[in-house]
Amino acid sequence: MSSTSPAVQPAARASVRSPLLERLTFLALLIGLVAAASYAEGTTTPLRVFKPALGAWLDAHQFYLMEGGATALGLIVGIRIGRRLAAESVGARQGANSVMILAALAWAPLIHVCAMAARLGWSGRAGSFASWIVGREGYEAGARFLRLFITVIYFCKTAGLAALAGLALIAIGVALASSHDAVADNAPAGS
Amino acid sequence: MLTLRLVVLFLHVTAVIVALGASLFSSFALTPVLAEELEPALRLRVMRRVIRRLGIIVLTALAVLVFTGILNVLYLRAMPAALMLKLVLVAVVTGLALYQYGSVGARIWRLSADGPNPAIPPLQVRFRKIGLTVGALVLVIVYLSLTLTRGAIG
Repeated sequence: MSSTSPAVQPAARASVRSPLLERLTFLALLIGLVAAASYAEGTTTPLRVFKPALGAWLDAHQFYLMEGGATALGLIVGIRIGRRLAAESVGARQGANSVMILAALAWAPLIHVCAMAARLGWSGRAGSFASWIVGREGYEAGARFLRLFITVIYFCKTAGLAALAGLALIAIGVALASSHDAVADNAPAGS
Repeated sequence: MLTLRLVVLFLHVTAVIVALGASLFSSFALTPVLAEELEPALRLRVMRRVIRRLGIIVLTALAVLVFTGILNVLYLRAMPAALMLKLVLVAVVTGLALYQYGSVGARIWRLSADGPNPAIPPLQVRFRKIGLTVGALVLVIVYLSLTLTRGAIG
């Protein structure tokens, strides 16, 4: 609304942009989507013919790469949304480093927790989608589409849960920086 | 008995109580009393410190709520529609609280450093409105939680 101080807002908004976070978002999205597409489409089979070692490694790790990519993407998106929402806060800037450290520490355990939670519940009505797509495209193509569809749902659910964790990390960052501000403010107020 | 599941659940419920209690106390007890009892300049000084401290308490409680909530999903071993709706609402509440304390509250904090300012009252109104919205949504979340754990009784 009009109550915003024009002198304050642009500086605060500008500080929210982070090239590091933008690059990390792209990297997480790239790794996650490539691994998800590889897992869904089974691209390791032809790769094993040309590069057996690489194909075997990718076969063993592509699922974890997808989970890791989805969790990292969700975390970073949550952090970016949180930073934007807390744009006016001194805490969003001062707490940014501590949030990134917390995110790096939380990432590995969150991969397992978010991936496990994402396996529960709604799977995009995969049963009815399966009969529809197999009826439309035939068994072989339908099965491939179904695998891709379930992988995308799983990827999105994992990223969604991680985004929630990213928002929570920003909340911690703002709270930490606010407590720092509150302590700093007490000194002149008391004198 | 002290089990990890019980500890997680205890922290989860405590976090809801703290976040909701702090918001309701501020909106319905502290703010009206300050408005009646203190002069504007002194009220502002008290309010800016209250907002900062309240932000620390509420945002920390919400962070605990989110992390223990994700762990609770694993213990529940199911994700019904009510739980998915609850997770979406928790994301909305966390976002609103971040905006309330990290944006509106921070603006009040910054502007009030030099004493009364005509830009502050509208911000305080917005701060209170967001707080009430957060409180109402948390009540919906609590109701959804009850349908998940006690739904079979009703």
